[in-house]
Amino acid sequence: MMALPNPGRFVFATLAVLLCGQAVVFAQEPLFTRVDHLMDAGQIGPSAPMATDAEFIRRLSLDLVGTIPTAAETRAFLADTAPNKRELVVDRYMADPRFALYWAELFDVMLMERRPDKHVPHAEWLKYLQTSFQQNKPWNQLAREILSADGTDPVLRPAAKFFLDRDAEPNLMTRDTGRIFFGVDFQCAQCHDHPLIEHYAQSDYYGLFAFVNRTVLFNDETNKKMLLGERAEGVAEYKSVFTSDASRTRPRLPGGAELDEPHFRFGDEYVVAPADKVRPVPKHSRRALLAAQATTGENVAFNRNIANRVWGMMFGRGLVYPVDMHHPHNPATNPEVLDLLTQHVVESQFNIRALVRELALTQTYQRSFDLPADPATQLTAAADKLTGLEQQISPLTSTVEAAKSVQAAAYDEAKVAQKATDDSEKAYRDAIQAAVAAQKPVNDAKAALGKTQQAVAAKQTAITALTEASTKAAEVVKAIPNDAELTQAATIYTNKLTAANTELAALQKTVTDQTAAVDAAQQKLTAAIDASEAAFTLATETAKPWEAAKQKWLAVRLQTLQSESAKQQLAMRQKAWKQYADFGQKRQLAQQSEQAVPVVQSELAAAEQTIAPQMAEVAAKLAAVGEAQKVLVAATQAMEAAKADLDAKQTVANTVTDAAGKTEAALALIPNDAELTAALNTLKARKDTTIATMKAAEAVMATKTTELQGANSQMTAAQQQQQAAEAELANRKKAVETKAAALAQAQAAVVTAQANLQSAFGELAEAWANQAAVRTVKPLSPEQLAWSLMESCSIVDSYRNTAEAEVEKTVPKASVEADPAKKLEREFQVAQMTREKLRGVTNQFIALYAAAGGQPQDVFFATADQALFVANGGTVIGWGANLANRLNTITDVNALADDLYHSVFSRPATPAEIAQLNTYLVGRPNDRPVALKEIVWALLASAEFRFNH
Amino acid sequence: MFASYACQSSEHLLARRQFLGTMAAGAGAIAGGLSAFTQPAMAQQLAAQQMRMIVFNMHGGLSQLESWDPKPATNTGGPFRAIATSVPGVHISELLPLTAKQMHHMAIVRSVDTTEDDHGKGAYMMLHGRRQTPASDYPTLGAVTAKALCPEKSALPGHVIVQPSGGGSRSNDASYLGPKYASLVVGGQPPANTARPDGLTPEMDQSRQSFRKQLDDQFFARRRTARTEAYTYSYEQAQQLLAERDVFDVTKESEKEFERYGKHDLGRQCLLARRLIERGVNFVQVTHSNYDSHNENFIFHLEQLGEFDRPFSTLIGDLHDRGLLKNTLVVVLSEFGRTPNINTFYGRDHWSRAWSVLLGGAKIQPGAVIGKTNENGTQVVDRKVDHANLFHTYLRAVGVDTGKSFLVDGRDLPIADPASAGINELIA
Repeated sequence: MMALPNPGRFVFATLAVLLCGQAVVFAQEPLFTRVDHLMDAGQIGPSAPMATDAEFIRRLSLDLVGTIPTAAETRAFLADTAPNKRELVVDRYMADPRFALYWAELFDVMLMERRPDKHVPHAEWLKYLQTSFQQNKPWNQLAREILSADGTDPVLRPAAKFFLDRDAEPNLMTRDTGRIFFGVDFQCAQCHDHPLIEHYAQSDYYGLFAFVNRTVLFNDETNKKMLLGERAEGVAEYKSVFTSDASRTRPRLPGGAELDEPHFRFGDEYVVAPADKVRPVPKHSRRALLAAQATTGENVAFNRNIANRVWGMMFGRGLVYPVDMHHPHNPATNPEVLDLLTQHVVESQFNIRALVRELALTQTYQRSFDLPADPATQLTAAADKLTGLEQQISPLTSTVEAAKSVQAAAYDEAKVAQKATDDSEKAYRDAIQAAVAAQKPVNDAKAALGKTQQAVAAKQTAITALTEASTKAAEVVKAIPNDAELTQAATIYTNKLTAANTELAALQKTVTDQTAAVDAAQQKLTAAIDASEAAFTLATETAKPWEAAKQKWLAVRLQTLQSESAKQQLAMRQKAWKQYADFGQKRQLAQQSEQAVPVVQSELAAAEQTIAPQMAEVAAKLAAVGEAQKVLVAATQAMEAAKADLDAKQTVANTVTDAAGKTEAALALIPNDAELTAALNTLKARKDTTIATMKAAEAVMATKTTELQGANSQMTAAQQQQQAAEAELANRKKAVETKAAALAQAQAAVVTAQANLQSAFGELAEAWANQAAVRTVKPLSPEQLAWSLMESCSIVDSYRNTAEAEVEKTVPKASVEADPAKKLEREFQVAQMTREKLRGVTNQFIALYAAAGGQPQDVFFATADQALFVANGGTVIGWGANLANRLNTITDVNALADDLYHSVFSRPATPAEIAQLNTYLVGRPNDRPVALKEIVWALLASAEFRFNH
Repeated sequence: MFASYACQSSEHLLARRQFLGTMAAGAGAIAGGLSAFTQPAMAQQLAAQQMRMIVFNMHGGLSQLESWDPKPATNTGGPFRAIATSVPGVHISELLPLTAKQMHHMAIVRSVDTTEDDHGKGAYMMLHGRRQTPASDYPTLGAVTAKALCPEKSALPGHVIVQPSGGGSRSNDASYLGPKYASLVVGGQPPANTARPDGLTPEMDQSRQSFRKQLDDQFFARRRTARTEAYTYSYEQAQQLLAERDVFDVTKESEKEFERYGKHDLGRQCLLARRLIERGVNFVQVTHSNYDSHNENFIFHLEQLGEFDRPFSTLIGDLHDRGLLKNTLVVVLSEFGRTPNINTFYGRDHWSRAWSVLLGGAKIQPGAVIGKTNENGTQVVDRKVDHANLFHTYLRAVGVDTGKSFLVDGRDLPIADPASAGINELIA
């Protein structure tokens, strides 16, 4: 968040209101409590529980002194019953000499990013940082030393490493100064406005560039040292390769205004003017200006950068992440906390130690690595929060747009105003060039005069000698007259003297002429310089509207940034709440889908239950059909019997009737034949009887026919009922199938919903970790890993003892016993020397586990190379063997597990783990020492060991 | 002022994010989250295509006139003839008779102008696709290729430099992509720590590894993250690499193969390159020294190319026969070419204004000739290209969209110089 003089206050004030007053800060409370209040207020979803004591001490030890606690330290802490034991242990670690040594290394990595050594040896630099942290040198002072050191002062020479080892290359200095001291990576804005980050402009890059572009690397051949020099000229000019927009700038800090600078006349700019093999020192140093301006406490970017970076060192991730990407679209996960810490940093006069202590005491820092047991506790609030945020964001959108268009207009105005300066600026530069040109004749004339003056001096020396010789010769001639040779000699002297005097006169004339020439050239130069001064005055005057326009532009740009920041902070909250609400929805979906299953299941069971009765029904109906069948068969048979009976009876009746007829005919032929008459009478009588019998049979027949019809209908009815029952059964079976399918679908829906929920929960967990609501899984740095491995295997002790013995030679322990300050100093020396002795070992880990030199060092990567080093290299296996050998002397598995787990994992073993260990060992009665080595190795190679959690 | 030249359409951003999300499966990438680690869709897609690259670095500066752009019978041409190749109408120097028969697989870019005659700077440009600047260090072609192509779950390194002997260590050439993509230098020696130390039997190793896994599973029951996942997975990769360390042992190749490739350093290097590519390494670089022929240019090239011609052409033929050439880009480059002018020592000096690069395989149009120099090779007369165009082209030939960026721990880092582009007509 560059370009905000103090947007923090603005934003904070806004959000404090927005957060329903929960965020109201009580000044009397300690900082760590205030941080926790703000974290709670800004918290989206539940927080993780507090870390256990064991987890806490391991984390704290790693973060404050760079290694895991010893088994003894852990046991003592766990056994401690003091209610404030966490605070006590924080203070104990902060008083440990290792604190300064470890934090010096953290800052070395931050500042130098493991670049290979160039001009200042790493050991000297590190010692400088170690001493700085030992003295708790304020960060702004440290930064001031680093930014301003030129390498000449032996005490501060190491501080010059930052620029010297970057070869004083202006673009590299610009990039890394921006990134490391202000948290802004302007690199992509070197050749044009940043293509992806709206608020990183090319002018920002060159504002910073202007502080360092005059700095030069100087080779001090006498002392065989590289130093920094600085020129007094060099304009930070730039032109966008995309838009061809061109401009120039004086030094400007990120978020600040262009700085005014003193003006010196041409020729009067240097304390030490540049020359061959001379280190130039200007009267006005821009690098000194950078060091002074950045560190006053007024530059928010500088202040915020360190607050965020120290937070990042403690929490494994900056509130703003990446730590060199502060801009409105990348807000802090909790902007109020960052504002509070930034304010604290300034108020505490950049006291890093105090900040670290406060952070270690926050509940936020002490959160567990375990996720909250119930992630849903705040879901009900989400809808309201989202509505509220939406209402706050929408008006800001138009505010931002309005600010942007005002800014664009101001920019155009500034461009016009700039154009108006072109002529006077060119005139000024031409005038300077003219002065440079006029300087040459002066130099030449002075050189010529100097040469002549030398000749005059030589001639005068000769004349003095000749005069003397001539006088002496005259004396000799006087003493020995008439000696032709002597007279001739005297004459020669006299003539020579005359000639020399003539020559001298000529030379003196030349001197006069040349002096005049120097004066003339000097006058011309003075005139040229006066002209350049006039041109400067004019240019300055002409540039005033441009200066005003630029100021206006910067001011409105600030407004854009502020409104954009405010909006993006809310948008970030909105996004986070949305994510949480989405998780809630997915959770609800998962619950609903789970609840749907038993419903469908019971429906299926109910449907299944209807099958059996219906099958019985079908069976009954089938039986009824059987019965009806039987009735039908009987009726058919009865009817057939009646029919046969009827037929027989009809035959009799017909025969009798026929016989009676024939008898009557015979009686007519034989009238009154008594026998015939008797027979006829008998036949007639019989005929009536048989007809009556037949009629009776006919009646029976009719009955049976009716009965048969009845049986037939019965049969049809029974058959229909049976079919109906079967159809119903089929229906019910179909219903069961449908329900079974529905169940399968419901179960599949559960699986999908669960998977969605799982993935949403994973993302949420990551978001929570990023928001510091749960502990980040922070990989051990290469140094921490090396030290922790050695600490767990008791490797450090022997080095510490060697260092102790060496220090004892110069500072006997007995000699400092009485003086606590000296005692502390001695302890520091021992720790420092121990660390130095193990430098080779840590370097081995750096080579494998660190990012390339000069690259950001906060990246994590796991490679097969590292795993192979741990698995097969001699180093870790050898260390592990040391611990395994000690464990082998312990026969009781409980005691063994206790030692192993405290040594490696800084915690007691659980009963399950003891059992697991026991199983492993019981299976290996014949090679227990080997089995122990395997076990130790497995613990050292485990994820639990590899991460700070 | 938001830069309007950068396309900010939501569609563009979305597509970019999707891509980044998957690219993020790399080292730094752990920031991409657990899902990115476990489901690297893009990486899988690229892995399915099995794209690979072999780069021959003709160290010192190969003469284009004695190789890919001969100018016989001109004042600059030197004593050698041009011979016909398997591509009708395309001629190369007679010093490469066997390669001439493989030219139907290859393409020549004859219009390279890099305007940099310094060995170090020229080599940097050609292998990084950008000019070296003090403020930024860039990853090499090999590191970029490995990052873009190497499947997350691959045990083998994605970036290997084959040298005549020694090796076994990692270089420092991956810049911000991280050491995972730095080149593994091999030359007969297998990578460091790929053998079990004395006294550690496979059974013991197995036993401790499975105990480690038990511990990790217990720990992960509390919480899993992309970082913990990547860490525990690195041990699986290590075990695989241990099992596959023979990949780096060229002596496992048969006597006949050594004869085919030639029993000298370059022959062995080419054979090892084939072995590595066959086994799935994504990027292999072979350096052939030394072409810096300020004196006796012609005898120099006669000897050097005489050594180069056979293993190189054998390799191209083998890759083709084994069906690998369609997925493998082969590039022959230098830091620059050599002057058309022949100096008084019969030498040619550094020359970057009009020289040639040979490439073929993967998506490169076979048989193509891009660009042209004038009659005596003193200037480019058609389709001038530079190191950045070539860098884009190499990567596009293996299916990498060079308009995208890598996302490394929250930082967007363009895959290739965003101000440049590839040679479109060369990509099939």
